[in-house]
Amino acid sequence: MSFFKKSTRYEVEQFGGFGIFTLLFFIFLYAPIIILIIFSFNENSSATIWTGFSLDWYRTALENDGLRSSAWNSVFIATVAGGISTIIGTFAALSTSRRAKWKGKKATFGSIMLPLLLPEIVTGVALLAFFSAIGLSIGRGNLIIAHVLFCIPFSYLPIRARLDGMDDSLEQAAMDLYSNEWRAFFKVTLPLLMPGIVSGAMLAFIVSMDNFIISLLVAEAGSTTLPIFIFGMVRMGVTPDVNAVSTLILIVSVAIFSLAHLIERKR
Amino acid sequence: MRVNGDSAILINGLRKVYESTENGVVALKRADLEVLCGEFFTLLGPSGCGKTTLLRLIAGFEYPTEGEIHLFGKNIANLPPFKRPVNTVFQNYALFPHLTVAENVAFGLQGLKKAKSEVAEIVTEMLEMVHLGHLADRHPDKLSGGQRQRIALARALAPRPEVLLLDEPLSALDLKLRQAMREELKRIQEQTGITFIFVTHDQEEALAMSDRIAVMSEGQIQQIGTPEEIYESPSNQFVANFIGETNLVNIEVVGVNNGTVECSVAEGLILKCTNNHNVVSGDKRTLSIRPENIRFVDPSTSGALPCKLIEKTYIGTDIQYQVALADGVELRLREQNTWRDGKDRCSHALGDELAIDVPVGATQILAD
Ligand SMILES: Nc1ncnc2c1ncn2[C@@H]1O[C@H](COP(=O)(O)OP(=O)(O)OP(=O)(O)O)[C@@H](O)[C@H]1O
Ligand SMILES: [Mg+2]
Repeated sequence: MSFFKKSTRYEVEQFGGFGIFTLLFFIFLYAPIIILIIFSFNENSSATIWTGFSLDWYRTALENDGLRSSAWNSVFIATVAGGISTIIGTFAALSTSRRAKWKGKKATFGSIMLPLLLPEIVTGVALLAFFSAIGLSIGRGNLIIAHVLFCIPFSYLPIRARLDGMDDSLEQAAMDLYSNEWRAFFKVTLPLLMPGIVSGAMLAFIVSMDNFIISLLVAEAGSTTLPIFIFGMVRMGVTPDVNAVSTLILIVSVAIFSLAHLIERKR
Repeated sequence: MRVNGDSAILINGLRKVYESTENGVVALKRADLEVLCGEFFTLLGPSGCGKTTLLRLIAGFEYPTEGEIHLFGKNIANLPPFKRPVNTVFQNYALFPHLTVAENVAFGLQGLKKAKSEVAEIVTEMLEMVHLGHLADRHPDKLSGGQRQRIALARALAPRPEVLLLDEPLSALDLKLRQAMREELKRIQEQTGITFIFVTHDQEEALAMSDRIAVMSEGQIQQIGTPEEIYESPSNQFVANFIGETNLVNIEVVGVNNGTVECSVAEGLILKCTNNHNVVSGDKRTLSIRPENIRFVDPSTSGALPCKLIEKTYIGTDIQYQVALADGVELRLREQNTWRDGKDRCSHALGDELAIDVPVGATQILAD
């Protein structure tokens, strides 16, 4: 059997050098990250010469007030903006995937996806001009509004994909069994949609945590986000405490992804 | 209390045009139909003829373009599905994957806001009825196709609907299971006394299970009647052709006497049949003759038609022959492949000159 499989199937592994190429690719992808993690434990303040193991840089990083407050800022903004954009994304997905054809459906779909295509710098400048034009200055509020804007497509897409893959005869069955629209939604649509909503919320959270350009333009004094603060630190030269912070962020991201994966597997 | 024989569903001038495409699709041209209380009523027709559309209009998933649907005298055509005491067994079952079997069956009862104890009682009773009480705590994805089918049935029957709608519920099952489920469905229908409206494109299924059948084609109802009526007296060519096998022969009426008609098929070839459509001399019509009603006879018998055997097919229970009569007219006939007095039933050979008899009562003049 395996004889036939090998000789008749066209496998990409048959190309010479495929294994080596794959290995090089992964080194290219992960080597910088691994070096960053290793040097975050360096005793010395150099980012290139290893002298010994220590956790000093983690202590330095965690004792940095500016870093702590900007991290807290980022988490707060990502949670609120991610939450709001997930709610909006859910409703948008429901009305573009479940409602019968209505005028402007295509245009609506397009305008939901638009922030993905617009250069961030354009969105950022436009928001900055808009906020100053209407005189809106509510600190973190400005950042939250901006983040909701570009998070919507990221939370919308997984929810929409989940809905499209869901047979609408389930909702019809619920209505057939004496459920009005609300009961059908809460008892059938929402529970089945949950994995999509969780993915959407996570994506939005991470995209918001990660954002730099728009945040930099929109942020007011006193509402710095973590990426902006780290950028400020790096400008003074890369010190191992930046490595330590980056490693911490990496750990948190991996933890969030693993958790979401576990939740989905459990269903 | 509903009495068997009352009109359960009465449909008047029902029409459905789907507006989703540019010009709209006319799925149902015009349907008029009455289903009686306690009846096992079947909608039968080829793919795309509008069966599902008609069922969805009754269930409330679609609203009619025109026309009325009365359920025990009340017009329900514009009520949402959750206000209609009608339940559906979906073709793909549509069981809720996140709920257990018992929760699935309880769903409709909870929708009706029944007391907890009553819900539990009915769920147990329903699961017992479909012999799946031991699976109450399973999830639907851990059931076989046949088991899902039964749960879908139990779920739809639990709220005791006035009418149960079933859209090709057996089509996803294999042959053996399908035959077992036919009997099961029939038993449950008799046991509960609930009116069933059953959709299928399988004529054997329809003939075996139904009290009455509506044959549909191209968005129209072609004929409504008992299985016998539909098979024995098809009212038009479509029905005659769709239900079972038949020979369709173009004829001209050449003589009418005492309810018997003489039909000229070709030069010198006259068939006699009963005048069930009040035809008169000179009418041109189509005749339907079922293959199993034609017999080989001794050429000397009076009224025997000489013919030549041109094709013979052995199909196990039957042997199917094709014979040529005068003027190139061909007929198909079937003989049961039974052992009789040692006589070999397959004795006719291709090219043999034989004779057939077409009994007067076995032919049907079709209304055009
Ligand atoms: N939602 C819809 N939008 C547009 N056209 C539709 C829709 N649903 C059905 N149709 C069309 O209406 C006609 C009747 O469809 P219907 O589903 O009622 O057929 P059916 O008899 O149930 O066929 P089948 O045996 O294949 O299930 C078909 O031509 C179909 O293409
Ligand atoms: Mg159908």
